[in-house]
Amino acid sequence: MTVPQSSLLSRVALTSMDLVVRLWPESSRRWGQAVLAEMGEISEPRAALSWAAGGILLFIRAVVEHIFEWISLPAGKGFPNAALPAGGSGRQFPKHSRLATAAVLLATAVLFFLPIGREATVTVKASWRGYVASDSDRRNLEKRAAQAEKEKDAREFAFVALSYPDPGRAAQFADRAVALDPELVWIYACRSRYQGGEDWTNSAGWLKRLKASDPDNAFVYLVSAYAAGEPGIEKIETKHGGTGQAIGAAETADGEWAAEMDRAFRAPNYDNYFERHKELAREGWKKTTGLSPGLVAIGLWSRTMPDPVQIRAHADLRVSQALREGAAGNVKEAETSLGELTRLGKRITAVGATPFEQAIGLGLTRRGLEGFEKLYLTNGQTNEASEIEAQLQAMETDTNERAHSYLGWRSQIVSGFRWRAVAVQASAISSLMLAVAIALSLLALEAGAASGWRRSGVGRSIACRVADYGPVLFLAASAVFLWSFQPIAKIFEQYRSAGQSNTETMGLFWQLFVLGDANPLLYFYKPYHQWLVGTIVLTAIALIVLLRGLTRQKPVPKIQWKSGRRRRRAEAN
Amino acid sequence: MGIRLRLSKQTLALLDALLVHPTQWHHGYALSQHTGLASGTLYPILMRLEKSGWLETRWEEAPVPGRPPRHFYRLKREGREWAREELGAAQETKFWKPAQGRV
Repeated sequence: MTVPQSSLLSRVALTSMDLVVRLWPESSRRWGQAVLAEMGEISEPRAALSWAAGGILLFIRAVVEHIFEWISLPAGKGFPNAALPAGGSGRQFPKHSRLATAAVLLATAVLFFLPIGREATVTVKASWRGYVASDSDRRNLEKRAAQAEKEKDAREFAFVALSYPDPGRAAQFADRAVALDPELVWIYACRSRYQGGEDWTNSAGWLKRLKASDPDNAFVYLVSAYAAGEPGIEKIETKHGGTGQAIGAAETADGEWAAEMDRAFRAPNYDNYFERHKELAREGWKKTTGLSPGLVAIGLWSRTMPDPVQIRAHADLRVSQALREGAAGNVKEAETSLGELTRLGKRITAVGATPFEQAIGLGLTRRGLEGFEKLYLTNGQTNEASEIEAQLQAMETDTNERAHSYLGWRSQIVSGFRWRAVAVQASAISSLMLAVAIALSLLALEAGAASGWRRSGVGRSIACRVADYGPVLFLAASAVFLWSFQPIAKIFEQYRSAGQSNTETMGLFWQLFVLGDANPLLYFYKPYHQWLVGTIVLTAIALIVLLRGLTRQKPVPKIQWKSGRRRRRAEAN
Repeated sequence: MGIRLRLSKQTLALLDALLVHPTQWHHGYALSQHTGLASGTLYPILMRLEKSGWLETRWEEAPVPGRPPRHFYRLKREGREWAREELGAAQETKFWKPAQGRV
C-alpha cells in the first residue's frame, strides 16, 4: 500500500493492519482488506491507530471462527486444495469431525494420565526392556537424589544407591547416604551383586565399618571373603565340583579369604539385610509410584547372596580338616568345626529370602551332617552316626517338600497370572499400534490435503477408516489395558502400603517375570517366528488381492437363450 | 431471509445510517463516523447483515491509483423495508431513538 502516512503512529497502524490482512483466513480476508482500504481516508494518527486496533480485533475473531469451522470439519477438509475430484473410488474424508476425533483421543489420553495409566505404561515399557533401567529411570533417580540432597534425606539416598544401575554413580549415592546416616552402612553389602561392575578394590573402607557396626553377622564376613576374592577356587569348583582339587585350592587360599570365611562360620548370627532392603524399597517406591518396578523389584531380586561356590569350597575344606582332626583323636575340635558349619547352614536356610539362598543353607547343613556321620562312623560311634543319619533323612524330606511346595506355588502363580499378563501385553501393543496408525492417518490426511494430495484411492480410504474407527478402538484398547493391569496395580499398592511377607514379595517378582515373558514381541526376535509372521502377512495380502480381483470382475453379459424355433426364425431373418 | 439478527442499539444505529441515503453506496469509515462505532464493532455487524441477506456489497471499480479498492455497502430493497420496520418497532418500544436531527 502506497498511501502516504506522515506520522509514526499512522505508519505503525498501517503496517500492522497490512500484516494482519496477509495472515487473515482466506474465507473472510476481504473484510480485512475492506478495513485496510479505509485507512487511506483517515488522516488523524490516533483515529488510524484506533481503526487498525478494531481491525486486529476483527482478525482475532476471524481466526477463532476459522478454527471452530476447521475443527468441526473432518480431517483433511478445510484447505482450499483439499477438494477431491469427483468419481474417485473409496472414501474421500472421514465421517467424523476433527472435534469428535480430538475428543475421543483426549479421553484416551486422560486414561494414560491417571495414576494407574502412568503405572501401567511404566511397567509394560519396563517389561519390554526386560526390566533394564532406561535413561528416563536414571533421570528420575538423579532427580530424587537431588531432592534427597536438599532435604538431607539419608534413606532416600540409600534407596537411590540400591536402585541405580551404574555402579560408579551408585557408589557415590551410597557414600552420601552413609555420610548422612552411618547406620546405613549395610547398603554397601546389598548393592554389591546387583551392580555387576562393583569395584571391590574400594571395599576395604566400608567393610571395616560394616564389621564394626555388625560384628556378629556371618553375612558380613561372607561378603568380605567374596571381596577378598579367590578366583582360583571359583575356577576349580566350576570345573570339578567339590573335588579334592577344590579343597586343595581352598587350603592353599590366601589367608585373608580363609580368615574371613572362618569368621563367617563362627559368627553367631546371620542377617542378609533383605528385610531392611525390602523396607527401604517399599518406602522409596511409595514416594514415586510412577517409578519403574524393574528398579525396585530387580534390585531386590538381584541383591547380594552368599557366594555358593566359595561357601561350598570352605565347607568341604572344613569337613576334610574335621575328619583329619577326628582321625588324629581330636573329636571335640572336629565336632566344633562341623557344628559351626551345620549351624550356619541352618541359619541361612531359616533367614534365606529366596529358595536359592535357602538351598545354599540346606546344602551347607547337609555337608556338615555328612561330615558328622563320617566322623562318627570312622570313630565307631554308631549310635551318634544313626542319629545323624535320621537327621539327614529328615532334612532330605524337608528339602523335597520345600522344593515341591515352591514349584507348586510358582506354577500356580505363573499359570494364574499368564492370561492376565497376555491381556495386558496384547492390549498395550494394540493401543500402541492403534496410536501409531491414527497418527499416521491423520498426518496423511491433513498434510496430504495441505500439499494437494488429490488421489482418492485405497490409501485414502484406509486413512479415512482409521481416522473414523481408530480413536474409538484406541480408547477401548486403552480401557482394556488399564482394566487388565488393575490386579498388578493392586499387588504393587499392597507392596507399597504394608510390609509383605517374603513369599508375597517373591510372588511380585514372578508376576513381573510372567508379564515380561508374555510380551509377544519377544517371540518375534526368533528368525522362525519372523518367517512365520512374514508368511502370514504375505498370504493375507495375496488373499485380499485375489478377493478384490474376484469381486471387481466385470459382469458377464447375460446370454439370451432362445428356443430352437425362435433361433431358426432369427437365422432365416 | 437468512439468519436471525440480534438487533442491538449499535445495529439499529447502523441501519439508521444506511437509510440516510438508502440507494447510495456507503463506505466503512463514513458509516463509522456517522454512527460513532469503532471498526471492531462496525464490521462484524456489516458481516452479519450481509450473511443474513439484507446488505449488498461491492468493491470500488476505479480506485485512486496507489490505494487499494474500497468496499461499499447498501441495504437491498427488502433490507430497507425490514430495517424501517425494525427501527419503527424499536422506537415504539423506546429501545432506541434516532440520532438528533433524524426522525
